[in-house]
Amino acid sequence: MIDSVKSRVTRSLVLSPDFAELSRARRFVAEVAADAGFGEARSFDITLLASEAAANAIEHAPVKGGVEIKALLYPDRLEIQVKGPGEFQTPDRLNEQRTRGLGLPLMAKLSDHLALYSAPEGGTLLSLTFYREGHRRARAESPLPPSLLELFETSDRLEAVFEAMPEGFAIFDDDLRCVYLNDAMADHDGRPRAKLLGSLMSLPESGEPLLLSIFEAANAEGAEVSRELRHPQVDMWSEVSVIPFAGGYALFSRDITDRRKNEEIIRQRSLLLDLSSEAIFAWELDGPIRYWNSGAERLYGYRAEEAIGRGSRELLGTVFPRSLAHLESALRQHAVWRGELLHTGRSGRSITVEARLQLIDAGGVQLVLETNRDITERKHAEQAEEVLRESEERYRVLAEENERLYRQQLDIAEKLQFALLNIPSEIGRVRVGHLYRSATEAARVGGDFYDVYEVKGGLVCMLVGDVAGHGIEAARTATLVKDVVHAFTHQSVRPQEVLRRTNALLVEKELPGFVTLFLGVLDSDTGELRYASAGHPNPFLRRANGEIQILGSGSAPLGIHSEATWKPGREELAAGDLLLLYTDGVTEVRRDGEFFGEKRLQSLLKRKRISVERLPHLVLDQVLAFSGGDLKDDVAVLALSLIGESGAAKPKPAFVQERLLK
Amino acid sequence: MDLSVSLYETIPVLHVDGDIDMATASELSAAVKSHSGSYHSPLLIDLSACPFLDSGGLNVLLQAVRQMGGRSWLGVIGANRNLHRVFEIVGLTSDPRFKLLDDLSELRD
Repeated sequence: MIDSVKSRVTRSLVLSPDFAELSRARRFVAEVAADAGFGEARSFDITLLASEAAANAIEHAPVKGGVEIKALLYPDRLEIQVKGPGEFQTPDRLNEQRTRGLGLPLMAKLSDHLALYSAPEGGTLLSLTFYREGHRRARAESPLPPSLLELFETSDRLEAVFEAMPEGFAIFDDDLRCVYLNDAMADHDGRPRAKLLGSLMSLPESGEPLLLSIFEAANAEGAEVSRELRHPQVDMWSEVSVIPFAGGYALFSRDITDRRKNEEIIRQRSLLLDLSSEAIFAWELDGPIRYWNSGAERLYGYRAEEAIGRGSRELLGTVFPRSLAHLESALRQHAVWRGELLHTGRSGRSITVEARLQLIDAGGVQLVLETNRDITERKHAEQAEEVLRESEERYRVLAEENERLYRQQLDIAEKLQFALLNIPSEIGRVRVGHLYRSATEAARVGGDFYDVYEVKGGLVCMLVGDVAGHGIEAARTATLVKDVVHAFTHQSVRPQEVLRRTNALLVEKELPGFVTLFLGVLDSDTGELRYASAGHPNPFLRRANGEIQILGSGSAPLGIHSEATWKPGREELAAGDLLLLYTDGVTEVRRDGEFFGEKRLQSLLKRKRISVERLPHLVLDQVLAFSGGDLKDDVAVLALSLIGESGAAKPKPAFVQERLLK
Repeated sequence: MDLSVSLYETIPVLHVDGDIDMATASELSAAVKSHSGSYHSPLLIDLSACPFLDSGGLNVLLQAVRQMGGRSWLGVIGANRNLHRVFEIVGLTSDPRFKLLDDLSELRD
């Protein structure tokens, strides 16, 4: 034996985990086999089996792991060892027995000896031995058995593979009689192996019907079925997979006790954690969320069953103050990290949290317990103040300029107006028409404002507002309100909430006068329009069939009472529906003491064909005709319509296509 | 491995040039699927320029044979002796829907 080892010659080759490497592996092994004096046919066998073993190792290698092929040449034999960093996936191979995966049976058939070892440092080593001519042991030649059952009866080499497996493995015949089981399987069951062998499939106590149901499910599916089972005798949990094959079933049992026990601990603690109003959840370092309390459900809008199992970063779109790597290294070093994180909730709302992350060791699993307090409101106030400061600064400069260059006021005003009214004619499925005309007296710019823009998630925001007063001062406030609303809609897409925040800010900053505002948020995919109005004239909704609705939710203007709240309204829009938003400069224009009024506006909408681009001009024409060309107030009109599917060309009717083909 | 297709009368012939292993078996599988004809029509695979075929390739052939219905069959042309042996081991040669041919001239009979 010692002599044999002494006279050993070793050659090796390392492959990256890529099937494209297989041809290189084969060239290497073919060369070794030829050098060792094996004949052409035997060299083919050796190359084939080495290639199979390498393919298996590559298939189950983690992304970074290398696969090593070692050729050990002894005086009497050649041993090929294939070492992979992953587990040898016997279950897959078996499952493939019916469709693919002939690798293992080929190895058992064509090698003189086959062995499988679990490397102590992790990974798997598969050893194939080929005796040299003359040294070869006599072996009965038999064709490959058609079923796994017969394969087991005739191949003790294959059995050796299963003996070495860390997983429990058993074979049952069609009558669910156990014909084979390995030691690990007997350990899982808790009863002696000899007693189980040949007996009917059974599990003590409550486990039995459950196990039977797995066999039934596997039989019905005709494919592998896995369930988690508890074995009360030995106080362990296992994941049981049953794979049907011709003539019986294979059963694998994987020990998952540690994982289940950790879950149990977490479940017990969760009752306490659920009492907390803070969002508390736990995730495995580099792994999924394992716990999610009711505070987290409330804050983020995901139920526990939706959140558990997913990565917290993916689920919440976490934005880190520095980087994830930095946070992780801080966690590993100090076990605790505190700071602010930015998350996105289910509704798309940005949530700023004051987070406390703690690294805990839960029975060998590194869990991060994350406790988050919602400080979004505080953050919003800070951000809004920043917007306000910037806006104020911009217009302070502008106002100074204005004072100094009083005579150029008209130019400045025009520039302001341009900035106010720069709106695209189409956003996604929404087409936009708009018009602004200032009062004919006094300054040419007024306090009317409007905007249409897109926020994340394909939502289209539309707003029309009116600041009491005229001139640069009113225009300044108008732009400021528009900026603030803009900033808030990027944080919340609930219109009533945006109004509430804007109002609080206006009251706090003691801006002169008040502001009326209509804000709508339209999901152009679903057609859902959510809106809220702060004392603004009610917009009209003209359905594709000509029916006209008034979007009313009358309430107080902004900037008067700090505690004011607004009710949300909701409508479903379909393709062809049209919205008309306007300011009171339209309806309150007078002739001999009579208002232009909503009725005249409505009758305009009764026309059969209305172009969204033309409508605002049509409104202005009517208003000017009514007032005799005189405007006492600014006029702003905004029209929006929802067009068909992404505006794509409609398919031509079938008969047209047929004709085109001819 | 390179694949090309020709027609022998009305029968599609897949010509394999190179090794069939886990890296290339899916390509062969796709070609077999797209050229498997109707219920009664056979398919030919020319392995005369294929020195090596692993379990991935064997499975493609086994699958193809299993899916042959009616009077259709799979013919393998020009496979070397080593491949013949492997076909026998996995039981392909005992299936009446699988035929081993030395060359196309055998089809004339």
